[in-house]
Amino acid sequence: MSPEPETGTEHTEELERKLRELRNLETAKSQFLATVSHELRTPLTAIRTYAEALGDEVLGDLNERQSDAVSSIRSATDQLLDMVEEILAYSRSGGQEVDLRPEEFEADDLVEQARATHESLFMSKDIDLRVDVADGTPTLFADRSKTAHALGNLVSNAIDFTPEGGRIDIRVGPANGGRGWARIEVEDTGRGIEDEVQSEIFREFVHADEGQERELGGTGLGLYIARRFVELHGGEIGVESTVGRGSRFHFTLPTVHNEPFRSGQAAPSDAASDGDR
Amino acid sequence: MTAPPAGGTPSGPRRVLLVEDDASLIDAYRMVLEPRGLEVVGANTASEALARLEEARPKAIVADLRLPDAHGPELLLALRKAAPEIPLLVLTGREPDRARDAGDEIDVAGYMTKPVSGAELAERIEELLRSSPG
Repeated sequence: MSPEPETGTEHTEELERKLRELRNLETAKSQFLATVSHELRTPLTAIRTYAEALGDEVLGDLNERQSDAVSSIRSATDQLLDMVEEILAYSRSGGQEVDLRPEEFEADDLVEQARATHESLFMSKDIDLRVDVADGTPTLFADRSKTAHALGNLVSNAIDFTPEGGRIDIRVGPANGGRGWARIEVEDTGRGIEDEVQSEIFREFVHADEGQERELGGTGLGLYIARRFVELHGGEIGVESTVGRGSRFHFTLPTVHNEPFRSGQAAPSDAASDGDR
Repeated sequence: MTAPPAGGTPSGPRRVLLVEDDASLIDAYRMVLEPRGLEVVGANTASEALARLEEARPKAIVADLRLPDAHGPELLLALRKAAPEIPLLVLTGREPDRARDAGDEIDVAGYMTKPVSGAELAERIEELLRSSPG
C-alpha cells in the first residue's frame, strides 16, 4: 500500500526542517574548521620559533647545509600558517551572518598594503610590479580587513602564476566612470587559465589546473574567499585570461558615494544593481 | 643575535612570566628571548602562574587565553587581581576581535595573535618594560 500523499503544509514543514538541518551543519562545519585552525596555530608557532632560534644560532653556529635546512623549515611552516589563515578566513566567510565593518579609506592605502605584504615575493621572483591609481578614484567605503584580504589573495595568486622576471599590474579607478563603485584590477603575465576553467576558479577548493595543485600547493580557497568578501559588499569579481599570455582579475568595491551601501538599507544584491559600476 | 640593552637592571632581572599550556612554545620562546636579555619563567596552568607570580616577581606577564584550569576573562581577572602593577600582554591563537571581547574592560597592555615570532614578542616586551614604572 502506498503511503498517504503529503499535504502542502506537511511538505513545507519538511522542507523547512531540512533547511534548518543544513544550516546547523554549515555552522558546525565552520566552528569545527575555526577550532582546528586555532589549535594548529600554537604548535606551528612553536615550530617556527624553534627554527627562529636555530637561525639565530643560539644553539651554536650552523654550517651552510644546516642553515639551508632551517630556512626550509621556516618557509614550510610559514606556508602551513598561511593555509591555516585561509581556512580560518573560509570558516568566517561561510556563516549566515558575516560581520562587515565598513569604513572610509583610500585605494592607495589598500594597494600599498598589498605591495608591502608581498614585497619579498616580488623581489625573490624579480617581478616588475606596476601600480596605477587613477586620479579621481573616489574614497572607498568598505570593510578594510576583508577587502585587503581579497586583494591580497589576488596578488598572491598572480605572483604564484607569474614566472621569474614577469610583470604584475595593479590598476584602480572609478568603475565605468561612475562614482558609486571603484574597480580594481590585478593583471599578470603568467600561464593563463583555460576558458572552461575560468568560470570554476572562484568556487571553493578549485585549482586552476591539477599541475598547480601539485606544484604550488594551497588550499584552493584563496579566490573563493576573495569572491565572498567582494560579494558581501555587493561587488562583482571576474577574470579574463588567455593561455600563454596571462590573466586579468578584476573586482568592484563600494565608494563613499554609494548611498545604497552606505545607508545599509540595501541588501547586497540590491546594492549590486546600483548601475554605475 | 641582539645584545641585552646597556644600562644594567637596577631593579632586578628583566624577568617575564610566560603563561602558556604548550610547554614546547615556552621552551622555543625562551631560546629566542633569553639571548636578548629577557629571563623567561614558564607556567602551563593558571594555578602555576599564580604561584610563579609570588616567587618570581616578573616585570611583565605574557598569557595565553586558554589554559587547562582557566580561560578567557576568568584567567585575565585572576592575573590582574594577583599583580595589578605588572603589565599583562595577551598572546592568543584566537581571532583578535574575539580575544578583545574576552578581555573587554580588563586592563591589559595589548593583544598579539599567534603566530608571533620570538623577535616580535621580544620587541613588544621591551616596549612594555620601557613604559612600565617598575
